[in-house]
Amino acid sequence: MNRTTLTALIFCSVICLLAAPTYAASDSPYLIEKKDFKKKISSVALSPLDVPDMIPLSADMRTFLETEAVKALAKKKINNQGMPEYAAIYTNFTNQIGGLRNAEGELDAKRKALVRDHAKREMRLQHAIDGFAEIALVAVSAQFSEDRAEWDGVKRKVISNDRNSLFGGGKYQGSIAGVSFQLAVYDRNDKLLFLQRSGIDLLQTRQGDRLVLRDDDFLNDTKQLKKSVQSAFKPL
Amino acid sequence: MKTLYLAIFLTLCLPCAEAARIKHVDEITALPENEAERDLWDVAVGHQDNIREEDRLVDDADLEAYLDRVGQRLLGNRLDHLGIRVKFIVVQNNLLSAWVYPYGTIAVNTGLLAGMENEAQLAAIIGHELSHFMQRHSYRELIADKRQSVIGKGLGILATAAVASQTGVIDTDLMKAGGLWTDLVTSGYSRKNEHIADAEGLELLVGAGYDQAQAIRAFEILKQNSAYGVLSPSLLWSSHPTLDDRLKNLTKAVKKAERKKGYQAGDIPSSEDYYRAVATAIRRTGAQDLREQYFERAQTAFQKYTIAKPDDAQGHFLLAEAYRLDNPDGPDFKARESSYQAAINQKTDYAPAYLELGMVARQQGQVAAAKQAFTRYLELSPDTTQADLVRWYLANL
Repeated sequence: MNRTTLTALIFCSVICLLAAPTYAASDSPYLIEKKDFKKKISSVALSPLDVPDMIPLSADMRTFLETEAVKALAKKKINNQGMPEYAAIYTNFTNQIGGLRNAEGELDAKRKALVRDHAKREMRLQHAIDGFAEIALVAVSAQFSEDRAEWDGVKRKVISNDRNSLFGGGKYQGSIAGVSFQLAVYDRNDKLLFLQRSGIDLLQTRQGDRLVLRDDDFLNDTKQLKKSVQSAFKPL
Repeated sequence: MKTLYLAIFLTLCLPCAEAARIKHVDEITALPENEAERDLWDVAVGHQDNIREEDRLVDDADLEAYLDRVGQRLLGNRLDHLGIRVKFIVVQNNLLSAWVYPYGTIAVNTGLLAGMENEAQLAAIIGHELSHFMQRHSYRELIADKRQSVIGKGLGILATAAVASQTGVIDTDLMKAGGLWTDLVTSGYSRKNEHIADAEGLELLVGAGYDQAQAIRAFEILKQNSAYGVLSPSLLWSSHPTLDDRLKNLTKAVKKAERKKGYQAGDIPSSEDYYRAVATAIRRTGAQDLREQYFERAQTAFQKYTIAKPDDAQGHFLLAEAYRLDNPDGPDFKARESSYQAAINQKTDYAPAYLELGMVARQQGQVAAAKQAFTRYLELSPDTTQADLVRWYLANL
């Protein structure tokens, strides 16, 4: 797959994300009254971190983010019941169906939904949890002007590799893909109650006239990652 | 100063007088009457085209023919002198809503069709929309809206607009930009015009021989569904009557008619026949409610659907899913078990129902029943992705 294709894919996914029903546009991350949420949710099963293929994340940084999420949840005095069990069930079911990828090696949304559904059913059967907290890295569309992009509470500089382009030597604006940490809390019946995203870094750089996926190992700043987790959990 | 007061008076009153001069379709010989009304039709056609382009139209000739029969029963030959025949389109949308375009095409949402319980209730809503058409309320509101929209823009503009209204020259760009049609569709008409349509709709209902009390029930259903955001935009428009007001007025009118000498109750068509006629819309509504996690409403929709189509295995299965998703933990598993079983009764090789019967048996610790259901599922669907999970469940019972 060449880089142009990758760029196109990124934008497709960004468009899909924008087109999908989302509650994040609201000012409040709560989809019910906060006091009702507090009454309803005191224990959850925290999911393993979900990361799409397009976002490069090392195993170490994945562990780091999951650990930070566990700490953030504890800080909010929400009991995290059975995260290791949830992860084990999820992994087991994934293995049972031969992985989440299709014959072409791409992540298969139907397989993923099947595992997610059955893992949750199994967790409900085994644990008296109030709900589920799902953590993920997601690609989102960020607006940029000049060389600054802003999304999900953060501002980042757009890195460019050259200035000889139709963008006019840095005087440009538009949409660029960014990476955010997302926390979604569902009740026991899988109804979304809370959704919050916190920006981490840009997923693309400017190369000439095009936006391309970054090829550097950019998701390794633990301070930045930690802050994104804390920001997503903050309203809880 | 007197001149100024006169200018204000004329500015505010002329459009009202103009709106008042717009006649009921019974009193005219041709529609549209003038260029301004033709412009309004063009805007409305654009709105209808958008729905088609967005692929929101439900293409079901039988359903449209059924709605046409209801419309004709209400109207009789009242529009013959105009050479206009009312048409119907069905829109995929779970909101309990319907609206009429100024040329007599009535758009009915799938949610409204699914929400009603019999043909008389549907006829009450259609009668109301027919009245909006016959009273030419959208054209009236346009004239009135012209008055409202210019208030606050300065006397000079007021005077110009008043003259424009008087001469019938309508700024269609303003209508398009301001989304007048969208306002009418989402917010409804003014308080006065809604009450007129309620009253005339009731007359049409009675004239067609339907039981008028069904109009009350129809509005009660609209009110019950307001919890899902249905019709709530109307409450944002201060001049629009609330459903409570309209229910109160309707109830008063119905009671008054019932007290009259020689009163004869009208026809209440069977619910089963109605559900059969609108089954497509009910199924679509139930499926959308499931996706949007309105499980109780999905249950209602699929209960109706299984009455209409008792031999459709998928209908029973989706009803069972609505029960399961509404309360996955039980403790009452009977409703879902019985619906999964009903699906199997209709189609003995309906694999998904065996999988879920196995899951619910496993959930209740009924090992033998779970084993039997999972085994049957694997016989029917050995190669699906789910089959690998079912093998694991079976091995770990």
